[in-house]
Amino acid sequence: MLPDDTKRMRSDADKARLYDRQLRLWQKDGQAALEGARVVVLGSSTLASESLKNLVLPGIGEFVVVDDAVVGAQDVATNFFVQAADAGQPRAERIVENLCELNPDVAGRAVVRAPAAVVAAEDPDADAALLAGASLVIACAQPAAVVQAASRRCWAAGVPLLAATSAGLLAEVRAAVREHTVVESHAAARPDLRLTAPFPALREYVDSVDLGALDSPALAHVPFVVLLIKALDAWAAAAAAEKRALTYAQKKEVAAAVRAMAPGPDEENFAEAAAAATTGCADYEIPGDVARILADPAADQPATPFWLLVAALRRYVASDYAAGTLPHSGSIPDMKADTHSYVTLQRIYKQKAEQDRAELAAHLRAVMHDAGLPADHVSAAAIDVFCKNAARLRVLRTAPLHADRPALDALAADGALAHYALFRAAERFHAAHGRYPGAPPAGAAAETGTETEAETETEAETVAGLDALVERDARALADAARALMADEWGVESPEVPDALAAEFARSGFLELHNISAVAGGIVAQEAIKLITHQYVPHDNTCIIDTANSKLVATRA
Amino acid sequence: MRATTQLARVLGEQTAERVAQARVLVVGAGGIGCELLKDLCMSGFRRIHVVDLDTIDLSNLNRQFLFQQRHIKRPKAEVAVQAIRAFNPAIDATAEQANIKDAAYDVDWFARFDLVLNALDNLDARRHVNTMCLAAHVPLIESGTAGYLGQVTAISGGRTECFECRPKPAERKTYPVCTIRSTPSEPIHCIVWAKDYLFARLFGERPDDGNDDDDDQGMSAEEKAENMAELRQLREESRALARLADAAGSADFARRVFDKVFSDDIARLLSMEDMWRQRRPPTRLDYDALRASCGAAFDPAQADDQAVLSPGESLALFAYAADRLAQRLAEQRQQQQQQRFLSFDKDDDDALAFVAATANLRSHAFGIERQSVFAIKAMAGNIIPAIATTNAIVAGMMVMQAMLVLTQRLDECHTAYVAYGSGRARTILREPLAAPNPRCPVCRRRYLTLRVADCAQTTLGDVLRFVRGLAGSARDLGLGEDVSVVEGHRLLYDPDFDDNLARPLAHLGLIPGKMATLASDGDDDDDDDACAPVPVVLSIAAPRAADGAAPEPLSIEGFEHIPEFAPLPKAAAPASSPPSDDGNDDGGVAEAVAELAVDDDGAIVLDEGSDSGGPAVPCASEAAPGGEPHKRKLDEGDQAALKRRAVPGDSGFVVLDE
Repeated sequence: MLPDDTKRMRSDADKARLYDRQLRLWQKDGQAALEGARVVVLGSSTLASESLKNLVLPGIGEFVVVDDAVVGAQDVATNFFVQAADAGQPRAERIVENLCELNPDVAGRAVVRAPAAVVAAEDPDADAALLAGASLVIACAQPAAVVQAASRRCWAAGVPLLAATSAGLLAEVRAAVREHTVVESHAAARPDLRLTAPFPALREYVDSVDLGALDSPALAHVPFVVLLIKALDAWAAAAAAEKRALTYAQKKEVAAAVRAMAPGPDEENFAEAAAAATTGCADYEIPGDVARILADPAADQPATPFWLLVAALRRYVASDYAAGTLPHSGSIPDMKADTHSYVTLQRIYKQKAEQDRAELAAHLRAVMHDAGLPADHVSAAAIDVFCKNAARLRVLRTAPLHADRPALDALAADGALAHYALFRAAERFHAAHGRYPGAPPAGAAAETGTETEAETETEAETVAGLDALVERDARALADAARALMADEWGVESPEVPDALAAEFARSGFLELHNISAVAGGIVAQEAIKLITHQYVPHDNTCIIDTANSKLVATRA
Repeated sequence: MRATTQLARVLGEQTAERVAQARVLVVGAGGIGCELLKDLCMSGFRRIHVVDLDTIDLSNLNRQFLFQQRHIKRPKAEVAVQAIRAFNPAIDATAEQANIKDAAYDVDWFARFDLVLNALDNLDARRHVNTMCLAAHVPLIESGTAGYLGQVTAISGGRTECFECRPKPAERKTYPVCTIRSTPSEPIHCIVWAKDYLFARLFGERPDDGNDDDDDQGMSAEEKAENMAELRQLREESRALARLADAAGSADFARRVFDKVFSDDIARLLSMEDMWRQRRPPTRLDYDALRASCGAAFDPAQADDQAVLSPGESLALFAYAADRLAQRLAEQRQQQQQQRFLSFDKDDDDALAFVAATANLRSHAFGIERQSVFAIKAMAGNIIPAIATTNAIVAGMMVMQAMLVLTQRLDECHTAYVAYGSGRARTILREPLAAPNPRCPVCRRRYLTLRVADCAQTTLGDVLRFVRGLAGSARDLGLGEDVSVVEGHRLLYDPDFDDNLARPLAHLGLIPGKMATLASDGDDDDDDDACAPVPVVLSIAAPRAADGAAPEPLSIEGFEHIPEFAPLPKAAAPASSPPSDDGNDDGGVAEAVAELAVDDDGAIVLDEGSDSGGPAVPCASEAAPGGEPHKRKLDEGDQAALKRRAVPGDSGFVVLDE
């Protein structure tokens, strides 16, 4: 137990300092989402406690652990959050108590019931609200029946689901997300300078700069944006061409025009302008991800603030004002320039962004009026963030975990098809035999904490027996995986290396701590992305195969 | 079932045994370190030594889970080891609160370990441990994280790239003094000025002679000449500031500082008209006018660190923080405490408030965008984001690689990245370990140990005679007659500089823990001479404890560890090649890693807080001859090891069912 001082809630100032390093990553909004989230975890093995540790530390609001398992010797060996003295006690309760000690601001609760019972929709005792009311559900080391039932329930309720399994040197983390929208994707965005079609304020500023009236030192401080727009003008006039759909050769001509304007060969700003000619003279284009989002039917009948904003964005893009462009983010890259010119340019783009935001807000009001929603349904802050990130919106839709057929092409391309098939085949093996491949049948080996001579003898027998069992199960598993691929997934010549199947069987689906720690880290990483709606979660499967030094991120 | 028996079943008895016997050194008990210690202890490692210099801070507790509120200010290494020992009393874990760069950690000390694991937060220490591991011929697992990004790699001298095979970006950006002092154009210039100039001059340690030529770093001689008048002026400003600092504690201290730096000094700058011909001139600030513009409701003690304060609010915060710092300084002086100055610490609220308010006032004067205290803290303190998740992934992967290295399976190791990518979001990426860069100034060296019985007696000349005496023997270093001797950046000897020959090693700073590099004279200037012998690095060490007999005055060892060096490629490879964009399978790696090293501002952020670092330029292996990444055929020993691993061992293990 901890002394009293750690039990009291922390002050806001202390919290700001405690969470400082993560606030740098997801800011106050992300932290608020985390602190408001409730995560339900099915299972309480090492994988569960390692995943939860990484959510309790950054301050998740609440977590619930569902499991009826009791602490056994294997847990004591691999689970950092149970002790030898906990043997025989409900494991969910033990890890909840120990995890809560990591952060006094987090509420944890154990539900000592079988996960299978809780996820079974037809079970009248099942806590229907438990999964549907969660921000996120995580299934750790659960049999396929539980994962699939949880997937159906979560899918119906629109709750994201993560499922992870750790088996010896192998592990798998999967995500099922019906729809996940991200405004703050933190994705890299190309600089947005609108050089081929300068907006009025930019045009006015560029025209106000008279290059002919500047001496050499002054010329060396003109921002490349001004130089390139002027060079484009000059090129278009000379070639009697329009400033759109420039070919590569034409862009080279513009670059040459820039160089011709330079007072000498060493001016960095002219070099910047010439270098930017190829990208800067390209037509304005809405990034592919955002174009797909604009075309998404979800924006036809918008039901959430995100889709309301996208519906407004559609109208905005189609308007004469925007003429096919997105709202400007308001930021421009650093460039060689004197302070005054740079600050002036910054202000021009910033004002453009403000104007764009006001335009979008007007469209949003119309959208909300049409939908019969109050004007303040979407906050001004949300509109602001949306406009700043309009060029890097993301929507993620994965397959559910109860799908019949995985994305074979992606799995095959990433070299993960055999692994994926073996994990599924192992789940079926478990469903058929009540044990995982390589795991002795229940009762075959006695659970004991002490070692006596007599036990050492039985041990030796067990080893020999176990070797035979592993070998037998490996063969059965490989055959089952091949059959699954050929018969159900339609793979023509299914390849499942015997050695890989042997690796699965050798594990007996026991967890190794460090493999579960890696998988738990990935689970929590994805959980935080899903909860904060920041950064882009992985779509949707990670496979770790330490036996073959493999780390695969793929889609299934 | 204990962790070892479980491991034995999955990994094979041999690996489990090796893991239990291995002596491992963990350098750093911070974000990655805590995870790593837990993983090692739960994965059957039994002999663990931890070194960390740091003490525990509240901002560590969001990820360094071996620590709790009650441990704040206690040494990290000690508390971490207590925590894992409490979990498993059988573990042989020891801790030291110390700087790993201490000379006591010499080559013999490092050689005691079978493996070193770096869980560090700065380049300097990473470089040092890399060199020590090369010198002691101990394999190293290197790691780093920054927010959601992380990486792990394995280093083995002569077989893989070392930490320095690719040039690293500078840890701190430097700015020309005139930009900072006279012509700031970005927020960071004002922050650097507030922290390194005004804060340091008012509250920091006084330079002895008031000479601030050291500020001129980053300026060429021409720039210096050109700016002489300006520099003279700046020097005068500094002296005036020193006089003001003596007034710390007086009632009008904050106002006097304000009037000097934001009114008088700016007026002086404005008088240099040439300076403002191409720039927008700054504006003098008026104390009373600004003060009046600040709302009465604003309480500087409760300022919101996320808000961008108005100039008036910044002034209120400036006055509040200046007074509090002045008071603290006055108290320290009164109490005759040894430390009579303050140093900037981003976690010191008064210091941060002062720097933030000052920076914003200066930004206001120069027409630069103001920033929130939160944002300024990151820039002033070089903070990089850190969370438990990435550290957990990275530490777990380190243990995997540790097991491979310990069982002689380096070929199966890889460089692994945790990333979020910008195109298709991938969580983890990997690539093969690269071969050593044949031009690496650190690992293309022959590391030997020179045992010296008495550094106070043995001279540099004795050492050179000893080394030349090896000529013709099997241990001939082949450096020829003309050699140079360098320690760190100091030239100790070359044929044109023999002043030190008669000096004892101890007088030259060559004591156990130090290294002397011997090269054929002129080698280093002419890297293209493919025939030049690979320089020799002599790690100075004490003699081994002999049984009674007096040790030899000088002896040399370690020849059996010297790898074969690939011949130098003909043409000079570019020192830092840009990320290759050849659309190969791991193209995302380049992206991920470029992001790892560079933050949003494009400033390099590798410092304190967590655990960043790692190579900034991804493996493109251009530097390696043939471009073939390290891929050696398994030898017989390795094959046998693989087979053994695949079969559960002889000695018993128990399978328990729940």
